[in-house]
Amino acid sequence: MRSEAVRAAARRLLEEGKVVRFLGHAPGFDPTSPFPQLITRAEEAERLVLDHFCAPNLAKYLLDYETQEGVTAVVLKGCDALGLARLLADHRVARDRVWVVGLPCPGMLDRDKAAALLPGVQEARAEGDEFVLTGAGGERRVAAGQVLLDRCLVCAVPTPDDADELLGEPVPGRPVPREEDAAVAALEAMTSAERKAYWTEQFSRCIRCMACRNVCPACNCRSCCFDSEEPRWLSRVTDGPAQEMFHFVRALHVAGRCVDCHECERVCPMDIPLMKLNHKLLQDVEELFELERAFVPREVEPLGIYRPDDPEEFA
Amino acid sequence: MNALAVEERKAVRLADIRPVLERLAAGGKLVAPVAEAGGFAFRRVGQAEKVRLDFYNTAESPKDLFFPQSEVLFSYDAAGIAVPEPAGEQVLLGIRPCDLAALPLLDRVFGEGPFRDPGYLARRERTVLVAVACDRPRASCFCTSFGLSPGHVAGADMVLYPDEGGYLVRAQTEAGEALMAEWPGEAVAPGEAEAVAARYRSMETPLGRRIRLEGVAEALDGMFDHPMWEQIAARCLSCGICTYTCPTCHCFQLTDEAKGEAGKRVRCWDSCMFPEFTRMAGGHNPRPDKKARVRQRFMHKLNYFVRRWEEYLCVGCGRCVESCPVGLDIAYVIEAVQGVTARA
Amino acid sequence: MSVAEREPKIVGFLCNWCSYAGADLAGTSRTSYPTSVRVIRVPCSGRVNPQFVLRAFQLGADGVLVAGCHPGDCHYSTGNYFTRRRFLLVKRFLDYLGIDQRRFRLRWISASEGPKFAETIREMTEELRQLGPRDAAAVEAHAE
Repeated sequence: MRSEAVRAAARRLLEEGKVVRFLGHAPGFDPTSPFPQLITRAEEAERLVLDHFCAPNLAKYLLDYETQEGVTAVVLKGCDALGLARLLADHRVARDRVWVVGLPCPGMLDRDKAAALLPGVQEARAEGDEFVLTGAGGERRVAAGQVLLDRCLVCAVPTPDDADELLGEPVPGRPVPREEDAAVAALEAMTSAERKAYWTEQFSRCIRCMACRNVCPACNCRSCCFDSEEPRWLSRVTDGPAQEMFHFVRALHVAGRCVDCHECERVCPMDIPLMKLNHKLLQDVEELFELERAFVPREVEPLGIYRPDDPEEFA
Repeated sequence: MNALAVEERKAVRLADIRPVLERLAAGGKLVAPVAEAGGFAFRRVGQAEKVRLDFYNTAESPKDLFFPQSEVLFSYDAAGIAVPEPAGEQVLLGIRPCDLAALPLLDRVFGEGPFRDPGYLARRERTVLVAVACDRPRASCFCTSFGLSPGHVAGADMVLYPDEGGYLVRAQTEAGEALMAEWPGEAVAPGEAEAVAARYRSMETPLGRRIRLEGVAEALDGMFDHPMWEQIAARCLSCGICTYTCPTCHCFQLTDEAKGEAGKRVRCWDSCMFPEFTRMAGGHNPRPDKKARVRQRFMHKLNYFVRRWEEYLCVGCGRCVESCPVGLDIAYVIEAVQGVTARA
Repeated sequence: MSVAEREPKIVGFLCNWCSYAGADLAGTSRTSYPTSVRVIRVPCSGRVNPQFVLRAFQLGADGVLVAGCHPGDCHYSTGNYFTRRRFLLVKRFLDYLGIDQRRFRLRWISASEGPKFAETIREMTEELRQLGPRDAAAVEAHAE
């Protein structure tokens, strides 16, 4: 898609000395799951790719270079750029130490959906509102809606608005029907006991690998309560109460701060629907505190401020 | 144990496996693959229709059945100390060759030397292993790189070979034969059973064609300080997906859960990928960064373990290849090591 | 004692300046109320991290009470406004996870409201008694 453009950008930036490292994507064994790749020399630019499977959000890696010299260039899609905005708002990253190579994102594909539509899929190209998948099994033309990641179907921010350079023309956002709201509403329609049973079942699969926390741009504390030995907030024992504690606290710690990038859900090896937790909080934040687009980081986060006339439910 | 060779053991053909599954499920001891959100998992099964023998590798390995993620070692209160009853018998049906090959590796860790793990050994002892030869390797599978194969079934009590729309079932031990005695099916000549087994043993795996292990352990002898580690570790998320889904990773920590006068000591999985894994009480951390941790994990699997036991601590099940969200899996590292040796 | 007969356990996080003094007043005024509450004094209701609430539940509490100064009366001027925002979310989120909302309360109790404190504990205890233990298994495991 934009592989040539990203290689050229990396080469130029590293050669000119504008940046000392460049964070992009490189192909994995499976071309449908490219992984994050750090390069530091212009000749390594050949390794980079930028295609319709580059889902990983690279923003969080910027924390790794917090104490290292030099400017870091990073390839960010619209959603990833919100992750950077989060880190900037939290004062974890200085803007002048980052060079944002923005990708106006046409949407990233869900590798599982793609593989289901065309087993052995290797590549995809966009053609209008369709994607053409190619692979060992031949070629197949599918509607964007069938193969895009769920998050991309409702993307409101495909183009980073704070990029130092853009790889292509800005892309308009898709109208946001907020289908996630339907998932939250379905849970809300259950009885309390049904919800309890639902979450107990979901959380019981959790292996506590912490990938959801580690990938999250909003989970950027220098030390985390889950790692604390004393006091021990979270037992390593994976019983029901501890699983509930972990998921409750993880979600609440990013309440009003989640940028809706869906990375937690994407990396979860056990497919726990973490965004159903995040979306519930996002909706409540917007509704209770009369905010719009609460997933966009702002100067002061919704829970870091108050209004004397906030709803009074506590008497 | 009697010393019958596998070739002389009983083998039968089952056109329909459901009656057998129903009987096993009714016995309350069956653990088998079931479908779950986004994949498959080994779970205790009460209803035969939940068993999914058309599964591909489960997201988590079955090591949890022998080495549980959380295991109470003992509990205490004012009245005294109580040690949990040893685990009951179970029949693990559907273990794949890769996961089966991981068990002897865990046996070395938990079952050899002066310190033996009674809980682990009891669960091993009381589990009848009904393996299934692998008829659906995924694109990420590379057991053949480790000298294994979709037909590698050493250590199983009984094996199911998917064949001709049904199963050819072959006992490999006395326990397997005992279980099989209750099964229907028409007897099969030893030669026929062996031919089917041999066909599976000669099967290739997709990634196995590509991943070559020759010289990897030796090359790593001199690579502790190689700049490669810095490069490949850069993308690590420091999460525990690889270690927790791995069938051979076996690190744990002990934790005391106390309240008032009662409490329990629990053994829980731990991961060398977590920064806290080596953090000491005074705050010093001998593996302070991602480079040190990533290097430790792969050196352990591809070098230290080989030096100690002459075997790699990996069976090519492909779980890390499937699950690592940033492509930092063992196949990638093996190729990176091979790349370094090729350039040297 | 069987689970059904058990007196509910409430963990109460009370702000130092208003609600703790209110509880004190209930005591010095000889107002009687159930012994179900275990009080933890905090400098301000704003100190109460939502994870305290879940931790209390995890360790066997049947109900959790957070109490602070009335909005506008915070000793630190604005602490309880933040509390209110935070717990508007927490209350809904507890319910979303299937933890009965009635097990959690946030109340504004001033230093002069001894009777309100006693009444709050009475009400909550009665309601929790009807609801029964939050998790019978956990209660057994943590029984003293």
